[in-house]
Amino acid sequence: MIVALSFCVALLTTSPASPPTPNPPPSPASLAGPTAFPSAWRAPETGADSGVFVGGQLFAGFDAPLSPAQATVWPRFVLERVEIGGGVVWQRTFDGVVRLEGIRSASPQSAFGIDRNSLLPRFRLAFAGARPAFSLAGVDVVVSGRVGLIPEPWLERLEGHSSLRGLVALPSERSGLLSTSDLGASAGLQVADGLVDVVVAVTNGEGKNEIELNPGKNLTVVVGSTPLRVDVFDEPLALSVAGAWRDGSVGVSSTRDHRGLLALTASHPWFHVGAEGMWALGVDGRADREVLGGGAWADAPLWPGWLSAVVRADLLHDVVADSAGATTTDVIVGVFSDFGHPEVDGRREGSVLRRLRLSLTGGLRTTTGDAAIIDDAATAWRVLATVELTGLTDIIALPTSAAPR
Amino acid sequence: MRLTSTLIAILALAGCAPGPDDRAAVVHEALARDNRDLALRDPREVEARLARMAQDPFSFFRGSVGLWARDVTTPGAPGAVPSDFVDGVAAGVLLIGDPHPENLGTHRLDDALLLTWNDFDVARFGPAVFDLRRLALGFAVGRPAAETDALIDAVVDGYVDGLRTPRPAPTDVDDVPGDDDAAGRIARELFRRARRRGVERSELEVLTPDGRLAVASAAPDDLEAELLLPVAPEDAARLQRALVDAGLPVRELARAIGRGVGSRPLLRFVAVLDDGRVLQVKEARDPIVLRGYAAEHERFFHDNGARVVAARRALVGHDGADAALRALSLSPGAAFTTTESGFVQTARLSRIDEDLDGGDLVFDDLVVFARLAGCLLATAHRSGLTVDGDVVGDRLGAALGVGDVDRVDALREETRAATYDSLAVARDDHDRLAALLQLHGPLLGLPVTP
Repeated sequence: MIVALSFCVALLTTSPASPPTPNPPPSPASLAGPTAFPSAWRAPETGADSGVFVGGQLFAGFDAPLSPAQATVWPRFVLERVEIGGGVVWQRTFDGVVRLEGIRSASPQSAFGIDRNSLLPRFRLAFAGARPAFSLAGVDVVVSGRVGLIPEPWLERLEGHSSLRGLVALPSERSGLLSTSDLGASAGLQVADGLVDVVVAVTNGEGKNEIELNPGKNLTVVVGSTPLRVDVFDEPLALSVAGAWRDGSVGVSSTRDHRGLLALTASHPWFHVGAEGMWALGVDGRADREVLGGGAWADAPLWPGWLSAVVRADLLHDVVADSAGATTTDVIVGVFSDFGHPEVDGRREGSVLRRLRLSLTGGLRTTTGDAAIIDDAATAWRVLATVELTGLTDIIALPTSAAPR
Repeated sequence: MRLTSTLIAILALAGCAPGPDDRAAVVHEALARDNRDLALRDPREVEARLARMAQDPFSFFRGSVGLWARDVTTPGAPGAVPSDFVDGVAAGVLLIGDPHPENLGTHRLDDALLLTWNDFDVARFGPAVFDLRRLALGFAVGRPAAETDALIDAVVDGYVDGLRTPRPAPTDVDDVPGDDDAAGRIARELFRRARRRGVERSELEVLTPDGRLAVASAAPDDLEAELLLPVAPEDAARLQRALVDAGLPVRELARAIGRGVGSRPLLRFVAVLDDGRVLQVKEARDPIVLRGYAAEHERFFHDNGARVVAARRALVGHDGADAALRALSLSPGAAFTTTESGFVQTARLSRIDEDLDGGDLVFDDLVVFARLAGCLLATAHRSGLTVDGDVVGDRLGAALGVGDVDRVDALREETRAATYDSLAVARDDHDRLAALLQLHGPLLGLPVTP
């Protein structure tokens, strides 16, 4: 961790003194890193050098869970995500981003919120950032910094490498091990268009929905690389690996809240695959809870642009001393359609509508082992239809001077 | 140099792992989460609650149902013994949520007194064995280890008996179930006290000779003091409006402090109605959290006040055995009303302990009281609702297999195992709280409004 920090800070401090190099700066498209999918996290990579942008995202659907233990089917419309936001960009180097999301006013297992359980808007992201790019000894380098309500760096990175966020959250977010954003600051370094990608974040550790409750700060280090880009079946394959460590504390009691994460993803026009492994010590304010888990996902076109197959499997294991522990597994299989618009660099050509996708999936959850007193989720089936809409404008230039009289 | 200092500062800020006693951190964080917003509103009452919990293991037990619920639903945590009795109807019934000996009490029903449950603040849907384990632990936690088996078995046997054969809650004009010898004395003594206090109209003790509420001018230094205080103007306006809307025109209001353990920081008010009746108005908040349990409360109840009232009506029967039982929507918040009456008396383990020490009771009396409590729990569960809104009735007994001797033995063994697992930390948790209060102060380090 110290080595990573020192490396990061040392490189950051070299940038102002570096002489101009004959190499051209990296292209704007590479500034955001090797992201292949529509991102809810950052400014767009197309359009003017300075200006404004707006965007939004909707994951909604119809969910029909079936609990054999209680012999109940409970069909309902669900709203997984609704977000709207935008920001300003100056010279492709400085930006400010604000995103609002809709949430239920009662938290899970809280009986009642505002006017029962109304949908309310809240800030999901609100940060200012800088990301100067330059060449250093012939190598493209992008450094970045953010401060404010910043995205969780691991989720930001991995969502950029997963095409299926609209269907289901990444394993580490879905299991509640990570919050999507928090108050704090981050610094990043990207070398050679993703060959080395390091982000260090210092945050409160309580997540976006809570104030700081203890003097300890969470330190998260994410290290990633996209080391392999080769042609497979005459198409490029991008293989990416990443790891993260979080030294965290949560709550008034400064309960430990540590995380270790690993991920491997591969993107190819014919398929996308990924896997995430996770370890957590201290979960949900319990210092004595240790969790191991992981998930894997894959999708591949059956009829490009119109029909793709998807599979996702998650596992979450509570480590219990002198016992087999408790294990929950989730398997989801299904199909989705992009309505004839295969994505090109994360967007539907000629449209601010970056993604329109309809998914139909079925899932099975099983719990085995020492699952405590609750057996409600021992076996549960569900059928889910989801629509995903992601819209994002280019950077739109603003008039720089008033019209002449 | 500057870089080094910065790095050291960042590393010093990063992560603050707890000490070697992880359990102390669990206790600390659970109590902090359950009290945090209450401490912002009224730190004195939270301080009083924590001080009271630190007095003895049973008081800690009474104030820590939230911690216990987290424990039994977290794999590997104390009391989280897997259950073989969570299939079918047994997986989701309307729970009392916190059944224990001191949540049993008397209610007036016409000319008779009814013995039944009297606290539904954390009632919710969940597995039936959740209530059974909580009740068994409630009888065992304050008693010597040698008595534990007999008390747990009595609770389970009473529960099974009540599921096999429907038994109405006992009244003071009927025989108490199981009272075939002198062993029913605890219940009968409770009836006697309630009858005496009811005739004395002890609820009027909160009034001055001229019929006004005896309101103190300010909260005393003594955290244990039980008294009435003036109502904040913003609370008075919304309370009066809600009471009138509920058909309870109110003449005078005061805030009551010093009552309860777990619910000590909740807002309570004493209201004198135009017709002279005295009511208690109590704030209703979220019930306990059962990790992993899918039932969503808003599907069943309009708000927390409605939840408490609906649970009482369903689990006690007789329309809740209180003509003044109402749910109040306060915007924000919710509350419910109950009658303040000398006829409403609560079992007190401290009083039972005194009688045991003094020879007025013997241990078998407590065992039969435990059996009666188990039976009353079964009666409540039978008359309650499933997650589909149907009355539970005989289906719970069938789901638990109470007609099968082997299944009953298994239920007894499972309840013993779970209770012992909880007991292993219950007494030490009380000590841990005392140490945490020493270390972090009377509010456990909770932030308060300046």
